[in-house]
Amino acid sequence: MTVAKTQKPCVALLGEFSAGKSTLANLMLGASPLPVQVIATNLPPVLVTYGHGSAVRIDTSDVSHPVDLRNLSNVPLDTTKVIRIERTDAILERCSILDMPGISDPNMHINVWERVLPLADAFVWCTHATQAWRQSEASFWRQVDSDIQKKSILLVTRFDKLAGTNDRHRVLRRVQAEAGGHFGRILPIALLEAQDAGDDVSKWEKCGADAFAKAFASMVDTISMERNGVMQPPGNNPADIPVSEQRPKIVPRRVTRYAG
Amino acid sequence: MNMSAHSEAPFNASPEFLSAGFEPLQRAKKRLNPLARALADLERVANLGSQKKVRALQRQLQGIEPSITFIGQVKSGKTTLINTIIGQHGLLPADVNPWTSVVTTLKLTPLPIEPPTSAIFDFFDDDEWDRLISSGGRIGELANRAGADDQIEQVRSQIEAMREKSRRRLGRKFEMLLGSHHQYGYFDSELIERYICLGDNFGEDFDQSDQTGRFADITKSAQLRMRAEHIPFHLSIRDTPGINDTFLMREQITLQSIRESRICVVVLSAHQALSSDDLALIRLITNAKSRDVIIFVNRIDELEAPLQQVEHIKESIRNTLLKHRAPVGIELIFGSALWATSAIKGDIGFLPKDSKSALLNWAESAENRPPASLKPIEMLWHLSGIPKLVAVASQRMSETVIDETTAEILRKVRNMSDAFRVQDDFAEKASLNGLSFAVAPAQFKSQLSAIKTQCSDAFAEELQRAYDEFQDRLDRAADGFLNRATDSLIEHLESYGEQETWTYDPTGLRLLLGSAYRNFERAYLSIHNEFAGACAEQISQLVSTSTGEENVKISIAIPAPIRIPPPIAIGKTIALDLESGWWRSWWLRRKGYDSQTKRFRELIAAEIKPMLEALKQDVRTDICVAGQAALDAFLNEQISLWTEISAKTHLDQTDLTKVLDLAALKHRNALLNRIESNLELLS
Repeated sequence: MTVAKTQKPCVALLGEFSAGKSTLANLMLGASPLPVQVIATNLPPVLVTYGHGSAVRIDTSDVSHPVDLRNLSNVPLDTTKVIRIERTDAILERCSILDMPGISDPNMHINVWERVLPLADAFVWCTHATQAWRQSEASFWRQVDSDIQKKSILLVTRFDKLAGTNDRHRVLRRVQAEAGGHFGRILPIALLEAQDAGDDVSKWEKCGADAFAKAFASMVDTISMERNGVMQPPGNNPADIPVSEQRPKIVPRRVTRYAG
Repeated sequence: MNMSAHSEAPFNASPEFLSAGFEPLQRAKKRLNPLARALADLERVANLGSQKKVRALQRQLQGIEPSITFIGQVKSGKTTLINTIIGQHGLLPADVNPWTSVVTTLKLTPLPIEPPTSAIFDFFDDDEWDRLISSGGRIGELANRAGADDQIEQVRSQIEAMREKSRRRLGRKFEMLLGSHHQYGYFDSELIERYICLGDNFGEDFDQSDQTGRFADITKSAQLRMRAEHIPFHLSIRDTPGINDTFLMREQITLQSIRESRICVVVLSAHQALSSDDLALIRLITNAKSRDVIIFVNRIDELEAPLQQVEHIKESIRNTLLKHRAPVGIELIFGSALWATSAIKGDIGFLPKDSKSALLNWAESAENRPPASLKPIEMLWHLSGIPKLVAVASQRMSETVIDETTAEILRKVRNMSDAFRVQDDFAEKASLNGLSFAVAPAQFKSQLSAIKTQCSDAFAEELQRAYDEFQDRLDRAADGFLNRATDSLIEHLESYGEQETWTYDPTGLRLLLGSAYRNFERAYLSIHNEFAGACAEQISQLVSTSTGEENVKISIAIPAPIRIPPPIAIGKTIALDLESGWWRSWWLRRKGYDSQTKRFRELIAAEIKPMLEALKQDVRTDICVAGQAALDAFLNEQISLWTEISAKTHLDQTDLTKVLDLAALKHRNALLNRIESNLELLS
């Protein structure tokens, strides 16, 4: 079995290690299938798709092997292309999610990214607010095709670590000035607050999760439309397409975090 | 742009706890007392000519100024950290956006100075800008950043844009300012901002009426001088703009400042410990000659549970350093500049809620737990990790710059005092036995010079022979390595294709180079001992024959050979050490591996060349040149010493007793005894 492009749009989560990718993935999936750590995790890319099958490790020769999700840290990095997990979370009915290992991890070989990057239709790039948008990120991003860049979202995470609206505004302005031309949208988010928001709509909106969820849905829709042959009217920014109320939105399914 | 921190007055009263950790420097300071006393005595013993030398040594002793550079990724908290160490929060402007490209040096002195504060701001000139472009650091490459190869081009266009912008803004003044400097008999936040804060200079709406940042684009470095009572030595603390900034010029400037300090504190951010950029930086610093690295992991206040997470981070950093063969013995310190700032402000209340709970968590471990006798604010200071950082840095400063300078002064003082002793003994002997030079001083001096020239030339010739042999040996080692590596690459490409990474461990090459180095070291030592010994013997004989006293055996101490530094160039990280695809771009442009053997070989050769060249260069300057200089200095010393003596004793017996003041000799003898006992205390 090979990892062909998934049928649904595939959105990859990328960024420096410890920038909040796995927290984001867990938030979107409404569970915590992925370990969250401050140190580089040494996990291969994880592809989460809709389905009922059990998890497999797909090696560099595209051969699948069963894998124990509780023991992901033992998966050999150099011979694994991707780990595929099937789940039935609502968001997976619309798209697949590819959680990538962080860049700038000195122990991670560039091959690990190169093998799976072609799977992604768009990216959500996570950048840590207090050190947002560094050269290592900018130079990685430059390698990505500009059509894909324009669909993608730059998510400024841990936004709550910046004290005061003035500082927040100024960091966003700088990031906008430096990276604005290479992303569809740039949005701030406080992931931990989003995780704790529960059903509290005002918290959900305040921490930036609501705006992100809408932008994400719109991004996925755009890709789906392109896939189905609906051409974009030229010059129309995908991010400007209004989010239809009928479409499922990304909402947190669980408010409490799983232990471990 | 009106950050509250900036508008505050620069000087807060220093709380007492600031001196915690500086104990090694206090001890070092005490150790210097006997040397200062010996110098004071030596000044009395010295004649007019050598008094100048003694005073220079006194100035050198008083002027010992260790320096320490803070370096790290952009926004890792370097500036805030420095502000806490000097106990002046808000003195150097720190901001959420990187907004300085200036290397700022704080020159701190323990005693009051006049004026109490002063500042010098140096501006770039065209040459320096060009140098920034051309001397591109290798961080991007070492960190294996994507697209690192076109970074030089980026730096060039960024610098050009900036130059153009300042030219427009400063008008006619621009040309005048380049290469010059501005000097002030004071500094305050407003002045610092005018020279070093670029501000949020990325929008169209940049406010030009504001004085902030008026000169900031063209300021190269800032020197701020002030008193820091709590630091027992003169101390230079250097703040750098940081690496991995999208404004790459900052990275270039930062890298250039590494060479200014022996001790570098690499500041990491706890939420992302040791990325490839940090690792590349550490390698670059440790590749440089005798640079010491301390790692400070800042922002543990942003961790949820630092007590548990720090253990993981520590292990992960240790493993990564080990795996990538970073030098062992790098000290790792964890802390929070935010906590330290709140201690200095005397206000725990200002900490955010999460930060407080992290603080309580961190305080739980036995290792961190502050002594119960401390006041709450002092406990906060203790937990911030700053005293520990200061203690480690002070210890290093004491062991390196201070000890080395002291040893150098000590050696000179000892030589001078020995020379006076010989001179006096000889004079005394002459007065008692009527020893006198049978030859004219001028003739004696020319005979000495002849010995010098002959010894020096023969030494140089012999050393050159050893050096040629050393070079041959290096080239042979490299040649063999190249053959093996090229074969391996071809074989790899033939059997695996280009998709898989090829690595070839250069350890074998390093072993051969190391052995060649040690071989040359041995050769130098034997040449030195042989020739210095022969010189001493010849001089001694010349003195005997010139005085007609074949039985008076003058014993001349043979100078010690120079200390041979370890072969640091061998540790230089080269592309072969990196598990990256650096070699892959070759085949993208070329097809058919076997026909490319010669080209591959050239490419690998180009990779190891810098290491070979650096090693040859180091041996040339550190051993050949320095060794020759040491021998020549010894010979010159001998010439001036004996010329002086011969002038004095070319007198007949009666004159001699008149000229020699025996009481003075006795007094000098007492002083020399005291100098010797003070020197004894030091060793």
